[in-house]
Amino acid sequence: MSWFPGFSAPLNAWLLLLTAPVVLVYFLKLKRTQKEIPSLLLWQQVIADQRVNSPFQRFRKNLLLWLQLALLVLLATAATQPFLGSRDGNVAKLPILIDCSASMGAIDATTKKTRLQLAKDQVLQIIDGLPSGQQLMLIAVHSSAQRLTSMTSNKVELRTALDRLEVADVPSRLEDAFSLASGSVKTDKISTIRLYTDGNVPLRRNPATETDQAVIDFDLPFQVDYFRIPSTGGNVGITSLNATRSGVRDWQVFVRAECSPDAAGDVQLRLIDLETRTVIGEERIVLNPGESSRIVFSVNGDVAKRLRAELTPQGFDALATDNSAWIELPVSRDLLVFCPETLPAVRHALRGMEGIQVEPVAGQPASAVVYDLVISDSLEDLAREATTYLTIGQLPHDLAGKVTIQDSNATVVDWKRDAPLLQHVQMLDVDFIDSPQLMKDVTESNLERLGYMTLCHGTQGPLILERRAGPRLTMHWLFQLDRTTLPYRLAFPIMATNLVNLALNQAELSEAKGPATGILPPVKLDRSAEYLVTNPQGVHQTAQSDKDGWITGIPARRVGPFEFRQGGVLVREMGVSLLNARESSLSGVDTLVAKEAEVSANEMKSSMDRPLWTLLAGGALIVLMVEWWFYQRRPGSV
Amino acid sequence: MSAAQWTSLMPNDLLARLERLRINPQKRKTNRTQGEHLSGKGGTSIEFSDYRDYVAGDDLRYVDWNVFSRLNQPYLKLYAHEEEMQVPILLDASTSMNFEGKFDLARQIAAAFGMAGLTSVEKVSVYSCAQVGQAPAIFPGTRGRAAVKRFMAFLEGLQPGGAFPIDAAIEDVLQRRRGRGVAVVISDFLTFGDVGKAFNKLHGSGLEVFAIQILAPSERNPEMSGDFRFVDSESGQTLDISSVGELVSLYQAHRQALEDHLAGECQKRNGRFLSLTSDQPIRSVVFDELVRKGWLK
Repeated sequence: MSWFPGFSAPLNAWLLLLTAPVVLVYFLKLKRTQKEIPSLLLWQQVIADQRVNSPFQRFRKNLLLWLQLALLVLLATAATQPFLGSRDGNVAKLPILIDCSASMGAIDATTKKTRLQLAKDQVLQIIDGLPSGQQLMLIAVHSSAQRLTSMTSNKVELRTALDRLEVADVPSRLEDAFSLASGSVKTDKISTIRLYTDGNVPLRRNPATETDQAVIDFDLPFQVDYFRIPSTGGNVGITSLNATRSGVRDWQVFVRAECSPDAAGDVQLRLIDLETRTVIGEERIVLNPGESSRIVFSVNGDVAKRLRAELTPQGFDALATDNSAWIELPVSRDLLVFCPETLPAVRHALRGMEGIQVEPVAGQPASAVVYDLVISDSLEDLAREATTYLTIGQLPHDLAGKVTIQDSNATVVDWKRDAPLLQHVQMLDVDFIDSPQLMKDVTESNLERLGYMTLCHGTQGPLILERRAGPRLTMHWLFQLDRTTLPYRLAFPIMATNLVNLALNQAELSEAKGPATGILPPVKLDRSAEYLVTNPQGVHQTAQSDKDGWITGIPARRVGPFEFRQGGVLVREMGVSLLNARESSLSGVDTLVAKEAEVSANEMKSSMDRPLWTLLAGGALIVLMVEWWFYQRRPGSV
Repeated sequence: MSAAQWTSLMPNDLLARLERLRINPQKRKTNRTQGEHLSGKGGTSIEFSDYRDYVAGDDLRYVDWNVFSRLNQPYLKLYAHEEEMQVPILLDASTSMNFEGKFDLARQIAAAFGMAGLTSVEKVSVYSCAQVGQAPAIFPGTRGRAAVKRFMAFLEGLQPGGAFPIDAAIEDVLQRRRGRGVAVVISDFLTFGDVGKAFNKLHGSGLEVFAIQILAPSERNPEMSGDFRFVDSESGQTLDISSVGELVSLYQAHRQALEDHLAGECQKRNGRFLSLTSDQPIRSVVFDELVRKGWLK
C-alpha cells in the first residue's frame, strides 16, 4: 500500500482558497468589546506573566480561527476525494471471485453474520471506494462459476449484483471460477484476481507429505490475492445418509453426524417418516470437536418410504442447512431379471442367489414390462425397460466399423479391478476364441467419445465395455459364453454376483443414498411428459421427461424438497441434502496449491484503494464539536 | 450644596470633627520656623524641656536664677521649641483618577488632611498634577483656620485629566517646594515608573510619606469575561485580552503584589500606606482607616 494519498477529484482543491476570505473576515470582523480602563499596568503584567506560563496563549487567542481553518481544510480536502492507494489501486481491471458455497452460509458466532455477508461487506467497501478508471468483475464461486457482472465501473450494477448473491448449498469448486476469470486475461489484460473465500475447499491428500492440501487443477495465468474470511463458531451436521437392505424386507438407515473442529456439539437426531409423519427413531448425540458418529435406524421395507433425518442442536450451530437430510427407500422386493434360456450358464449362476426372480420361466414367455436387469445375447432385448443391461457376444450397433470380432484366440491383458463388475475377479487365466479387434485408425479414445469405457482389455481390443447413459447402465461382453473358458472359472459366479449387486444398486434395491445437492438425481416419471419442478426456494421450472420417463439435469443448489407437478397435481417429491463432510466441517485452509504456485491467505483486510473522505469528514465533525464545546462551555465566552 | 454647607467635599459635621484631629507623623519632621509642633531641640515655647550649663553668649533671660541662687552656678533653662510641620498634599489628577469616583474620594481625603492640618496650624499645600509638562495646580502653603474656606474652594475647583505618572509628579513637586513634614500622596499608583525612587526623594527631602492608593471597584474586583480590547485612559494604548474571566485571579495576584510593593516601599522609609476603594464613604475612610490606624489623632 502506498502511503502517499491520491486524489480522485484534485480540481476541487480550489476550495482551499476559501481559507483566504475566512482569514480576512476573521480579522475584519473580529469584534472585541472595547473598554477604557485607568491603566494597562496590571493587565500588561498579567499578559506577560501568562505568556510565560502558557506558551500557547498566542495560539489560544486565535483558536477560533485555527479551528475554522482546520474545518475548512478538512472539508476541502475531503472534496478532493483522497484515497490511500494500494497495489490493487493500480490495477485497472480486477475480477473478484466470491465463494458462495454451502460453508459460506455459516453464521459467525461473533458478528452473527454469515461468512458470505462478511465477504460481501468487504467487496462493498471496494465498490464504494472504486476510483474512476477502475473496473471490477464479480464472479460467484460454488460448484461451478457464475459471472455476476461484466468488467464494469458501474457501482450501481456492481452493488445490485452483489446484493443478489446468495449462498448455494453446494461444495465449492475453484477451478471453474479461475477458468472463467482467465477468459478475461487476454481481452482485459488481467494480472491479478482477488478471491474471497473461507478456505473451505475440497482437499486432496498429498502422497509426498501425507497431508491434505487444497489443490487447484489449474494453471494460474494471473496472481491470486486470496482473502480468507475468518469466522468462529462450531457446527454439527449430517454428512452422510444412506441405507442398505437388511435381510429380505428391512432397511438399515445410517446417519452420520459430524462435529466441526471448532467446538463440541450436542444435538438431538430424529428420523421422521414423511409419509406417515411419525418419528421412526430419535437419539441424542454428544460430539467432541472434530468427532463424528454414525447412528443406525432399522426401517421396515414393506412400503416405499420418504425419510427425513433432522438434527436439533442444543447450542449455537453455525450452519443450518446441514441439519436436515432426506432419503427415499423403495419397497423391498426381489430383483427382476430377464435372461433368456439361450444363456443357461447365466441362468444357472443366478438361480443360486437369494432374492432374484428370473424370467422367462422355462416354457413361458416373459411377462414383466419393466425389469431391473436385462441379460441377453440379442441386441433387440435392449429395448426392454430396465436400469441395467448386459449383452453377451453382441457388438453394439454404434461400434460397427470401429470394432470387429475375429475368430481367433485372445487373452486378457488388463482389466479395471476397481470396476463394480470386476471386483475380486481374476481374469488372467481366462481364454477366449472370440477376439474383438479395434479397426484400423481406431483407438480407445474413439470408443470413449461414444461413451464406452473399456473394463477389460484383450489382446487386440476391448473384451468388456461399459456405457452409462443417464440412469441406464449397459455392459457388453464382446465374446460368446460358449467360446470362452470363463463359465468354468471362479471368476464367472463372482462376476454374476457383482452384476446382480450392480443391478440392485441401479434399481436402488440394495442400498439407497440420500441425494446431495448439485444436480438432482434422475427421476422416473411418466414418459415424454412435461412437469413443473419447484425448488426449495419456490422457484419453478419446467422439465420434460424422456421417452423412458426419466427427468435429468435439474440443478439442485439449495437444500430441501423438490416438487414435481403435472397439471398442478403433486406427483413426486424429492428432498436433497448437503451431505458434504468438508462443507459441514467449516474448516478452511490458509494455502491454495495451484499447479505451479501456492497462494496464501491474506489478512481479512481490503488492500483496495481506501477512500479517505469519510475520515476527513469525520475529522471535520470532530473539529466542529470541539469548537462548539470550547466556546459553549461558558456562556458569553465568545 | 446647602447654604450652610462649607464645602461640597464633605459634610459640616465631619469638618467639625476633623477640626479636632491632628496629623500624626511617625517621625517628628518639622521646620525650624516656629510652628505648632514641639521640637526636640530647645525653643521658645512655655513648655520646659531641660537644663544645660551656661556658656558665654547665651541669652541671660533663660538663666534659671532660682537654681543659680542655690548652687551659685548659672544653668540655662531650655524650653521645647515648637516648629512648623509642612503638609504638602500631592493629588494625582491624571485621567486614570477620573474613574468611578476615584478623584472625588482623593479630593475628600485631601480635604480631610487639609482641614486637620490647617486647624492645627500646619502649613498645608496642595499640588494637583494632571499633565506632564504642565505646572500642577498649586494651593500654596498656608496655615490657620482662615484658609480653610479658600482651601476647600481650591479642591472643589480641581478637575482631573491628563497623563502624569505619579513618580514623575512627585519629582516635579519636590522641585517646587522646600520644607519638612508629611507628604500626603493620593493616587492610584498605576505607573510604569519607579515609585520607590520617588519615595526616596520624598524621604530625602524630609517628608514622611503618607501614600494613599485609591482604586475603582472595577479595578479591585474586575467582573468581566470574554474578549476585550482595553484602552489605557492616559496613553490611549490598547491591549487585546481573550477570556478575561480566566485571568482575573492572575490580575488579583498582580494587584495585591503592587499593593504589597507600595506598602513595602513606604515602610522602608518610615512611611505609611493605605489602599482604598473609591466607593468607600469619606466618613468611613477618616474614622475607620485614618484615625484607627493612627494617621490622624
